[in-house]
Amino acid sequence: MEEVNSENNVLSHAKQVLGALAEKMAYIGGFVVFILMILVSADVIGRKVWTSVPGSFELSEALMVPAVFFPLMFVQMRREHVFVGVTTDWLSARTVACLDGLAAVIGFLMFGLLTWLSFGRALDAYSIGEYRLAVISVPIWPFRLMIPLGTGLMVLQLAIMAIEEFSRAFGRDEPSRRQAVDPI
Amino acid sequence: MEEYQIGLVGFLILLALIIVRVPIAFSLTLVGLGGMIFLSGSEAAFSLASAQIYSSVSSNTLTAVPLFLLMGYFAFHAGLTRACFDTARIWMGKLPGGLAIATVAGCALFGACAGSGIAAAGAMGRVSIPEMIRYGYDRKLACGSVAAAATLAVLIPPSIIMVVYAIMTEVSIGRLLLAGYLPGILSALILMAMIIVRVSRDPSLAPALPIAITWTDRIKSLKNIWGITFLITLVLGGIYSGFVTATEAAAIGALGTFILMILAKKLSRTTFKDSMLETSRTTGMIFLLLVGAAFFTGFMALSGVPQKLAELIVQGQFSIWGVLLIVCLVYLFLGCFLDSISMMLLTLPVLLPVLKGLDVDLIWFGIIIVKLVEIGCITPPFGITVYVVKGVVGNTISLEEVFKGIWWFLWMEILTLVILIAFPIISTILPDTMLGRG
Repeated sequence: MEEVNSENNVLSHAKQVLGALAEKMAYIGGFVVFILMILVSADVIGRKVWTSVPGSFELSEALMVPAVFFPLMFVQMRREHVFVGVTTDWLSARTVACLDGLAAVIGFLMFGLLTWLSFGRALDAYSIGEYRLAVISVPIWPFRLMIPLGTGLMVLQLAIMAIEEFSRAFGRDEPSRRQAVDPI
Repeated sequence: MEEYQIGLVGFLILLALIIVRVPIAFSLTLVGLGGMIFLSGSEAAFSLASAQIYSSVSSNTLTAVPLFLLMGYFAFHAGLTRACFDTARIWMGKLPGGLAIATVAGCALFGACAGSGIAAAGAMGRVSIPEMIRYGYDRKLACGSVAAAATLAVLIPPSIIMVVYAIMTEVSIGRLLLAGYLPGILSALILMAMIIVRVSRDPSLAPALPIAITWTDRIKSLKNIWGITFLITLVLGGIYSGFVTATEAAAIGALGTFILMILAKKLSRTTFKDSMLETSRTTGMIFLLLVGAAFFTGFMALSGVPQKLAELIVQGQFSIWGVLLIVCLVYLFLGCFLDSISMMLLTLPVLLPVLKGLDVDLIWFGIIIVKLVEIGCITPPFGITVYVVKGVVGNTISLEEVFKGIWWFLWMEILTLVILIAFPIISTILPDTMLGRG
C-alpha cells in the first residue's frame, strides 16, 4: 500500500510540474500570435507608408511553428484534441477508460515517432545552418527544433495519460464517468 | 491487393479509430503515416513526414487562422457582442419578435469579427436570452434564435472554416472570404423574416416591447458600433480592393479589435491573458488536425482512391447536381457527430479530384460546404452551439426544449442552402467583381 501511495505522489507531483509547464508553453504560443499580429500589421502599414519590414514574410511563416506546437501539451492535458464521444458513451466507465488509454498509446507512438523524426530534421538544419533567404536572413533551425519540443512534451503528457487511464480501467475502484465534450 | 484497395482499407480503419474515441488528429496521423509506409516504404515515408510536419504549419496563408482567432477573442473580451445586440435591439425592437430579430442581427454583426460560432453563442446567449425571457418571449424561440444565429459567424468572414477549405482546395482565400458576405446576409435576412412571420401569426410567442424608442435613441445607439463597422469596412474593403491579402487583413483586423478593446476600457491583465490562452488552445487544436490531415491527404493521393472515385463518377455520368446531392446528404449526416473542420479534412481529399473532374466552381462549392458545416453546428442530436446555449441557460431550460426551438431555424437554413445552390451568383458576384489580387 505504501509503495502505491509513494508512486501516486511521484505521479501527482510530476503532473503538477508538467501542468504548470504546459500552461506556460500555451501562454507563450498565444503571445507569439500577438507578436505575429504586430509584425504583419507593421509590415502592411510600413509598406504603404514607407518600406516593408525586412524579413517579415519569412519570419511570420516561421513563427507559426511555436504558435502551433507550444500549446499542444496543454490542449492534450485538457483533453481538447477533438474526438467523437457519442459512439462510446453507452459503454461502461471501465471500457471507456480502456479505450482512452489505447488512444493515448496510439498518440504516444505516433507523435513519439514524429518527435524523433523532426528532431533529426532539426539537427540536420542546424549542421547545415539552414536559413530563409530574405533581405534579413531568418535562421530556420531554431524553429525546426521547436517542433520536437512541442510534440515531445505532448508525448510525455500522453504517457502519463495512458498510465492513468489504464489504472482507472483496471483499478480496484469503479471509475467515475468522465463528461465527453466536443470542443469545436 | 491494388493500391486503391489499400486506400479504401485505410479509410475504413480511420473511421473505426474515430468511432472508438481515438482523437481525430491521432487517427489521421496513424492511418496517413501507416499507409504511406505501406505504399512507399518507411524511408520515403519518414523523410516525407519530417518535411510535411513543418510545411503543413509554416505557411503564410495559414497564418490567417490564429490571427482571425485572436481577433474573435479580442472582440469577445471587448464586449462587442453586447454592443451589437444593444444597437440591434434599439433599431429592430419594435418589429414583431424584435428581440429575437435583434439577436440574429447582433450575431451577424458579431460574426463579422469572429471566425467561429462558439464564442458568439456563449456571449450572445448570456446577453439576449435573459432579456427575451424577461419580456415574456417563448423560451424555445429565445434559445433557438441564439443557437442558430450564432452559427452565422462561420459563414460571415472572417471564417476559420473558409481559410481551411481554401488551403485544402488551393483557391484564393481572399476571394472565398468575399464570397461569404452576401450568403451570410441572406441567411440572416431569411431567419429574421421567419421570426416576423411566425410572431405575426402567433403574437403570444413574443409580446411587443412595452417601451418607446425614438429616432434620437436610434441615432445615439450607433455610437456603440462605429468601431465594429469601421473594422468590417477595413477587412472587407482591404481584401476587395486588393490593398491587403487575407492574412494581412486578419492581422490588421486583430490589431483593430485590440485597439477597440483598449478604447472600451476592457483591456486588463486577465482579459489579455485569457485571449492569449484561448487563441493558443484553439490554434493547437486546429493545427494538430491539419498536421494529421496532411499525412492522410498524402496517403490518399498515393493510393489513388480519389482518382478512382473521380473516374467512377465520370464514367457513371453523374451530373454536378447528383454529386452535390450526395455531398449534402453526407455532410448533413456527418454534421450530426463530427466537428466542422474534421468533416472537411476527412472528405475533401477524396472529393477534390471529383470536383475538378466535373469542373465545379470551387468558390461557389466552398460556400455550399461552409453552409453545410454551419447547419451541422445546429443539427440534433449533437449541434455544438445548441449545447453552448444550453450551457448558458443552465437548468432553467431543458436540452429538449432548446432543440425543439431549433427546428424552424433549421428549415430556414436548409431553404437558404437550396437558394445558394440554385443561384451561384449570390456567392460569386463579389469575388468576381473584386478589383485586386486574391
